[in-house]
Amino acid sequence: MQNPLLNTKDLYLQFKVYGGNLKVLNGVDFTVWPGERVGLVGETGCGKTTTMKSILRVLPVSQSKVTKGEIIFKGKDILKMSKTEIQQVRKERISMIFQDPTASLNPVFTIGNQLQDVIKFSKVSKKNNIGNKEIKAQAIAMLKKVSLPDPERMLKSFPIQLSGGMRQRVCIAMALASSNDLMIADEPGTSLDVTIKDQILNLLSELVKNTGISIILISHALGAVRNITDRTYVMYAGYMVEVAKTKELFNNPLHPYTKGLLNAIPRLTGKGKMKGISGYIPGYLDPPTGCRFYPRCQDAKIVCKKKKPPFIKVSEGHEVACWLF
Amino acid sequence: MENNSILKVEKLKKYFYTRQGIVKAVNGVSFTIQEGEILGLVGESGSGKSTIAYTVVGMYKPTEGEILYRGKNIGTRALYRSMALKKEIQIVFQDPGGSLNPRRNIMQIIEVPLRAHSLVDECRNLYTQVEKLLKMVELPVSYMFKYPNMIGGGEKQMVGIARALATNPSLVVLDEPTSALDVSIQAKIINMLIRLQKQLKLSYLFITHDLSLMKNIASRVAIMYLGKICETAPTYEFFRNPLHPYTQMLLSSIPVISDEEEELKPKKIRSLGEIPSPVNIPSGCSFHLRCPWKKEICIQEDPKSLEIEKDHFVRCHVYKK
Repeated sequence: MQNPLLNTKDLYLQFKVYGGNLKVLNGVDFTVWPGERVGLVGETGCGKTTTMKSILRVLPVSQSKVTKGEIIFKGKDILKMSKTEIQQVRKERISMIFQDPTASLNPVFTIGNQLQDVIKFSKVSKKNNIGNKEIKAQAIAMLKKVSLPDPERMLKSFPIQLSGGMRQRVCIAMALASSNDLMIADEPGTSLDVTIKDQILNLLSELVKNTGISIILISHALGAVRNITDRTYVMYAGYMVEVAKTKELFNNPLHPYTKGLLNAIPRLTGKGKMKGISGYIPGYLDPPTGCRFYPRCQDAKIVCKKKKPPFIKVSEGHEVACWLF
Repeated sequence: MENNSILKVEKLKKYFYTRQGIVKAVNGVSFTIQEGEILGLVGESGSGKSTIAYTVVGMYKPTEGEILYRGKNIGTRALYRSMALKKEIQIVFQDPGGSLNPRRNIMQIIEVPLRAHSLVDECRNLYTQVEKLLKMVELPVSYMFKYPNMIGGGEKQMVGIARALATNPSLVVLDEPTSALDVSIQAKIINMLIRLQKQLKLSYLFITHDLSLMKNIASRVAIMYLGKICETAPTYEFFRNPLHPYTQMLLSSIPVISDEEEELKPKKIRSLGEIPSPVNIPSGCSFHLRCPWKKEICIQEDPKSLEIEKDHFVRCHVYKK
């Protein structure tokens, strides 16, 4: 069997704050195989973005600390890499698309400036020693790839002159220019309208199919994940509670939290009453011991309070972290 | 039927004058809300949904057109409205964090409308009133002395709802009340809103961009595009037989979570383009730039609203009587 592209093993991460340590990540096990489309869902504040940021090591060093675990990318531990090595990874291997395209583009430089910089500094072009003309040609090709109209004019315009959907396309173009292995899309459509979001997600899944890179799609919209991913992780309060093939997960959810999430979504059929999950995500300063979901869980047992449930394999590729199984 | 309408909006227009030109945020919108009905107003951002909400509650003065509340024209700013009228129409805002004063506790926030409308005579009654309101929105009474930053987003929105209900209104305008919240909390708030609507016999003008949410709560749906309504229909009819190309585009781009729902969606219409700026609205039908069924006439002439079936109105050249 192939080696996984990215694998985090039992990752624990803490943030230092005034009141003590926030135990945010609590044993994250996460695997991405080459060429796979992985979805990651969970509520606000469950640690989705933090996991991704710790993979890229872009969290502030002074406040965050990985207390346990390792992140293995292509056989190397990211946490033990030197500064230049991790920069190489960010430059050439992994790239990230952020939720808010407005905030992730620099407002005082043109799109062309920013995009050409990315192409210039990715190692691909350095090796081949290509000139400015070719970089520009590449930039235009990139913009065409994400189906932006009139790319030549686009290069000269500033982010403020573009609409939200167009900005997000530019961000995707930048990410494509510098990533050869893995693209992390952090809620790429959340700040956009439904029809635009649909366009962006279609574009992403097409690009991934054509280029063959892996993608991690982070979202709290379960529907979006269902459409374009192969495998889905469900995260709750700092660790993965369920993983399965996307189809399997939506047809046969096992963890009480996954069930609750699916029940909370308004259905187009109008059938079935929406049910919320009572309670809120726990505070990280003093999280519940054992399973972090038990205060909100309807089927909680005594063992849930005492011990953290391990990943239990239910069927091929379907694993659940819950004492019920 | 006519007499039963609680709110009637007739050819409402609201223009904003800016340096770039005139922004036609709402451009000739008519709709009615019957007593005890939930009207869902759906549209993308920039289509003028919120402007309608603000005009109805009197934050803006309409440029043209009429707003009739129980047959009486109320098309003025709130400043010139009577207290009795203001009491009847209340609003819940989109951002629960931004609409509560961070320096006041929940008690102080909820008591403002009670005091302003002289609904309580004694201080003692104030407590019981606020307590009653908190119980109504399923919040513990101890929250009375908490500050907004001590409670979660969903709870903040519940306080916002309690504040709107404090004056015992008959019409509540809900401006995307759940779009800033997680799904698990959204479900709870929506269920509560439905319960309150039945219990207190309220009418809602529910503004949202989530169509599948509409299916679950609204009795009628209106779709807005660039300051105009392009389709209105009773919810059941609307989802069974969506007619306008924009509606079909919206419906087909909803991400759904089961195969059963997938079958309900109209055949995939690929979403194209983006909503144009409301400063220079395209000529003719404002949707023609993105429309898959575009014809010659669409560029020149703005279609009129037609009643295809009973209560099902569409504004598109494709349909003829």
